Amino acid sequence: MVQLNISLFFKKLKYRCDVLGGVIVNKNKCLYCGACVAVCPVSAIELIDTWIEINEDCNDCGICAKICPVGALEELK
Amino acid sequence: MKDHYDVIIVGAGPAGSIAAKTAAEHDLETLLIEKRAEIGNPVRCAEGVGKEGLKQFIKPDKRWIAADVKGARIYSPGGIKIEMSEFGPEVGYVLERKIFDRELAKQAAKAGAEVMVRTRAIALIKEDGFIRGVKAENIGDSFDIQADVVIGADGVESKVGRWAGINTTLKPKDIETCAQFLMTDIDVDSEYCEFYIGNQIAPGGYAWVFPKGKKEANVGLGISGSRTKLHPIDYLKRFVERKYPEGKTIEIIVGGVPVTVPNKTTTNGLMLVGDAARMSDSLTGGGIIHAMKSGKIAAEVASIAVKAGDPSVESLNEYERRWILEIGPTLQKSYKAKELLLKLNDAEWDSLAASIRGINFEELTAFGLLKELALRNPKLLWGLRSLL
Ligand SMILES: Cc1cc2nc3c(=O)[nH]c(=O)nc-3n(C[C@H](O)[C@H](O)[C@H](O)COP(=O)(O)OP(=O)(O)OC[C@H]3O[C@@H](n4cnc5c(N)ncnc54)[C@H](O)[C@@H]3O)c2cc1C
Ligand code: SF4
Ligand code: SF4
Repeated sequence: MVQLNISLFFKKLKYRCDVLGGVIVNKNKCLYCGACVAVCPVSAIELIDTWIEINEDCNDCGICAKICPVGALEELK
Repeated sequence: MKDHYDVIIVGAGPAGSIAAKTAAEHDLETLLIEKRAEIGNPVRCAEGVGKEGLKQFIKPDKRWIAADVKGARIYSPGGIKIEMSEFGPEVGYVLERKIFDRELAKQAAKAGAEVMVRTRAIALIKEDGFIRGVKAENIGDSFDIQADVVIGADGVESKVGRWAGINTTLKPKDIETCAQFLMTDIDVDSEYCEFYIGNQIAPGGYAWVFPKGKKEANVGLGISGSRTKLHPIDYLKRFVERKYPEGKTIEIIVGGVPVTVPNKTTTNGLMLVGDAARMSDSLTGGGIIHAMKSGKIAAEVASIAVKAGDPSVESLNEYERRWILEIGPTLQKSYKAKELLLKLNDAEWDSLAASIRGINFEELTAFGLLKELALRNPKLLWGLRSLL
């Protein structure tokens, strides 16, 4: 039980970090082309169908944001 | 759906569908899975294809041919025009890929392959150092499907290779990032493809106008991933405002083209084909024909491996040997040429274009063009001489 709560705590912490320092997707801009998936050095992005998901492996390198053809990815400083 | 197949192919683009068709024709129990709900949509392509290359795989059919193209016009940054008629393998037809990709999948089905859409591979099944199938997800359900051989045909966003330990990550300089408008009500020459070069227009790439009939064209551009001061869509808006201010856009397409050379393409129980293997041409960005070629070879090799009961990497390396024989030298040369041309500034492009104004080309291909340029500009294109 304790273990479960700890892992939950870290997940939440990580989530906070993503929002504070990671990359966010503007779903109104993304045209689900998969270019960002191809350049991510840690394979953190997945193109599901008509949307992308970024997992906690993201190391905030910003490469995907530079590559996106429409600027749908934004680095949060 | 069964729980075991001879071969599973992930991705129903040109590479995957040709692989599935070929595998089924070789009497393999074949499954083709595609994560999209609709094969071929959205398109990620300018749809230009060489006639010769295409005819090796499918009989041309007007249902999926939007234009029959006779030549190409290339414009330097300063507007010098180079015209190549009967241009070689880079152009020939402009396809309607939504219909074309679907037709290829239908042919695979007709040959006996099972096809599943809205079915996404989410991982590989690994046992004793071998890939033995895929974990897939279909409308919320996930399940395991075993296979003797898995073929990764999952395009630019490929994960199959990476799941198997093959690093296919592209460096920014090894991807062209692209945007395209399908424009209507514009004046185009329906028999010519046009290319526009220039660091103001498309840094480290080019803009294209590929006709799709008399009043319609794919108008797009690609820029090097290492030169993205603006996003491709912004460069494209600028280009179109100047060139077709009255045109109407009826579709927006974006995407990335790998402009590199393949790394490894095989491991125990697995082969990578097409864009998943990074087989598009670095110079032109064309990838359809290479995708189909590699798909066909991979399926032929899978057939031998399955029948011999040996899907080991040694056995599957026959695939690597054969694609290197067929397209290896072209991929290498195009990559080297791309690296060199990336360094040219606009004035250098203009002087190159001026040097070949009005000449007749012996070899009407991108390489033919480069050869003439290198002959007349040995200093500027010194690095190219070994390629030609
Ligand atoms: C803007 C642009 C313009 C281009 N112009 C041209 C051109 O004019 N001529 C030319 O020859 N080439 C062109 N290309 C390149 C060409 O589109 C590709 O090389 C070609 O489509 C590669 O075919 P493929 O079958 O390997 O991959 P794709 O056609 O990309 O097919 C891969 C398929 O796999 C599916 N998939 C991915 N992951 C999974 C998964 N996990 N599970 C299930 N399915 C999955 C995808 O949904 C997709 O349908 C262009 C590319 C772009 C981006
Ligand atoms: S590169 Fe941009 S448009 Fe393409 S899938 Fe990624 S976020 Fe979406
Ligand atoms: S910022 Fe870097 S690590 Fe994070 S998703 Fe983008 S490319 Fe991957």
